[in-house]
Amino acid sequence: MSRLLHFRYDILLEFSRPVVRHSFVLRCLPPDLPWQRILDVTLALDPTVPVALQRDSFGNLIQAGCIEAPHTNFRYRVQGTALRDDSRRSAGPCHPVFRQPSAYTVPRPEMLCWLDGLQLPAQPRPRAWALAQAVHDRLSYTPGATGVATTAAQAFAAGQGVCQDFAHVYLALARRLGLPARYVNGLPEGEGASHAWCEVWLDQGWTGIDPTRLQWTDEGYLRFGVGRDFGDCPIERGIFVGNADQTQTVHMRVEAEQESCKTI
Amino acid sequence: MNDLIRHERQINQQLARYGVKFGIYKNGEFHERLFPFDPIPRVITAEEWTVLQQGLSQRVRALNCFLRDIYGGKKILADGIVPEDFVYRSPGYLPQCEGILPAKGVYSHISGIDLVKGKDGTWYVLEDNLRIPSGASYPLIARELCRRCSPETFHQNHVVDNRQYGQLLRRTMDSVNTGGINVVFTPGRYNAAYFEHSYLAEKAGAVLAESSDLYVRDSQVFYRSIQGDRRVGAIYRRVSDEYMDPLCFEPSSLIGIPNLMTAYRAGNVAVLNAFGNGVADDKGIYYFVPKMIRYYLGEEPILHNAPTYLPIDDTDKQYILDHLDTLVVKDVAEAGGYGVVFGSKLSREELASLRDTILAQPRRFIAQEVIDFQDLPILEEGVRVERKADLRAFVLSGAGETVVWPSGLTRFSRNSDSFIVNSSQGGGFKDTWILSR
Repeated sequence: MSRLLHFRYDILLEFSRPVVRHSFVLRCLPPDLPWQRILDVTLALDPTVPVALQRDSFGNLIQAGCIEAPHTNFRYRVQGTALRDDSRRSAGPCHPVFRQPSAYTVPRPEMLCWLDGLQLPAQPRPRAWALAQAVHDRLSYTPGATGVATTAAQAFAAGQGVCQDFAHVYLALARRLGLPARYVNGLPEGEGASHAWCEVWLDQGWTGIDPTRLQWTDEGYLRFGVGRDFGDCPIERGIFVGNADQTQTVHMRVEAEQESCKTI
Repeated sequence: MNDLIRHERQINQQLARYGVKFGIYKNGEFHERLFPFDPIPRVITAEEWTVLQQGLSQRVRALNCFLRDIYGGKKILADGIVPEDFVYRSPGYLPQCEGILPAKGVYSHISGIDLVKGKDGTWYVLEDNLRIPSGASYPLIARELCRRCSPETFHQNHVVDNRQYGQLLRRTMDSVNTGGINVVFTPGRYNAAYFEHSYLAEKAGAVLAESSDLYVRDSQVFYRSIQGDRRVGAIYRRVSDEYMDPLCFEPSSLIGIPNLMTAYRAGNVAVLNAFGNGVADDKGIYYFVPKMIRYYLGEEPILHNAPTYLPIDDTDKQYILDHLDTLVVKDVAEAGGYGVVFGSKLSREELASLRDTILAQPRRFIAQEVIDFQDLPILEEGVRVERKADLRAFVLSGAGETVVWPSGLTRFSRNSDSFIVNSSQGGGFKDTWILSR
């Protein structure tokens, strides 16, 4: 069943003192894919500056620019409509980097030990699922316990984290089990902050799995960027000149329209 | 030549005045030191050079094909010539460069190929340096100073002139320039190789720029200047990949150019050397270079590799374990003479621990036969003594041509028992004479 998703989000960065030469790269737009058609989308920046629209090497849409003048706020707003239809997911190639450990997902010996102790099914799909269950049980969801720089090994040792950490631990172990897997940034249906989950390579194609919520992703999930781990596809990355503290306020909302047609 | 020996002290004093130094890290501390010059040149005959030149050019052409292939179609992996793991587990492989074709398709513009000459007269390639090989400025300025002391030495001995390096560099930059000025990008004057950066910029007629001089707007790179900002078409950068763009690579880098990658990706600037070249000069990939030459060029390799064994291959592994006490083991991730261990120097316990490390991390190491290289004479306190020496040859690749600079950096070890000649290990250098007949 396809679903029509209306998405709208508003991200505000506030600086305690004016900053200048603020270069940024955003990955805040969902890509148009056979199973995620983007029917309309707008991006508004404040301050308004020219933005280069490109695709990075992972195929993610990027919006890059620079605010030269002094400013204390940087706000970007996105609004649009997507038609999600997982029956249109197709087989596609898997880049070999998704089989390899990456900066955030190097498995430490204690993780491998723990992995060895798990009774996992041999078939890839049940195996991928059982691993998600195990990771979900091993970590407790604790906002504030970890930061953006926390690695899989650190989150595993702490036994807690947020969606990013659940995803990293899952990726580290899935790859170790021979299941190619990648990190996904995006928004699930509902309201709040952005979310992170994984895609695992099953039957020659990518299938979404969310170890935090313990579910296969459904058509309420709107995808932005993918990468080896968080470092490849943050929604926003910036660097500026100025001695200022930074706070971020995020409002995100995805609403599904029921009973949508399937003809697009 | 005796003239030069007489002038040794003045030449070294001049080098010190010009600031011909390099820095080394030892025990976590940074020390700058002079690079001692030895007046007795290494001499390469015209005949020998012809072969070296052909072999070096062939090697670099193949390495450029390899880089284009790895970040593009990956045919060499599909055809099973190079194992996939070797590429994707290499710390020099950058997935951020996938699918980006640099200006004119050139990846390694300035390549530094390290060779040694065996006692039997055969040259062996020890290492390819395709990221930011340094050292061309040293023989260049040393020759200049030697010529001042004794101009007649050079024409009496039919030494090929090497003063064209600046023009070669400029021609290479011009050939890939996408429109705009050429710049040499340096981390700044506290960098160990700052002398070289400024000297090469001057010789190539390029602008010497630091991070704060350059910025990106509308996916183009600009140089800030009091006469108005100028577009940059080619950047000969002397900063490692990971520090070049904090928004694409290492986020904490303050010496990079934010969003340089958007200009690069759009094809609006040439970066010399291209990003991601580390995948091709990895000590593990080195093993496959002769295979690459056959694969891409359909030619037999002219230059030899040092006999190399890979622990991931079962036959090689057995050989390594059986001969560990005579082999040299290198950590593929290290450079500059670090991570090199000679089996013959290890105690029984150290050998056993090395053996365990290799078995635990086979991908991390290569093992090579120790080549009995020809020693070169140097002067030590006025007395001629023999020391180990290597040669770094510089190969310049622009759009459509690959040129070998008829010169090179001959480095020697100052300890009589050391095989490691890297400048970061405290060696000295000599001029390299290529004879015209």
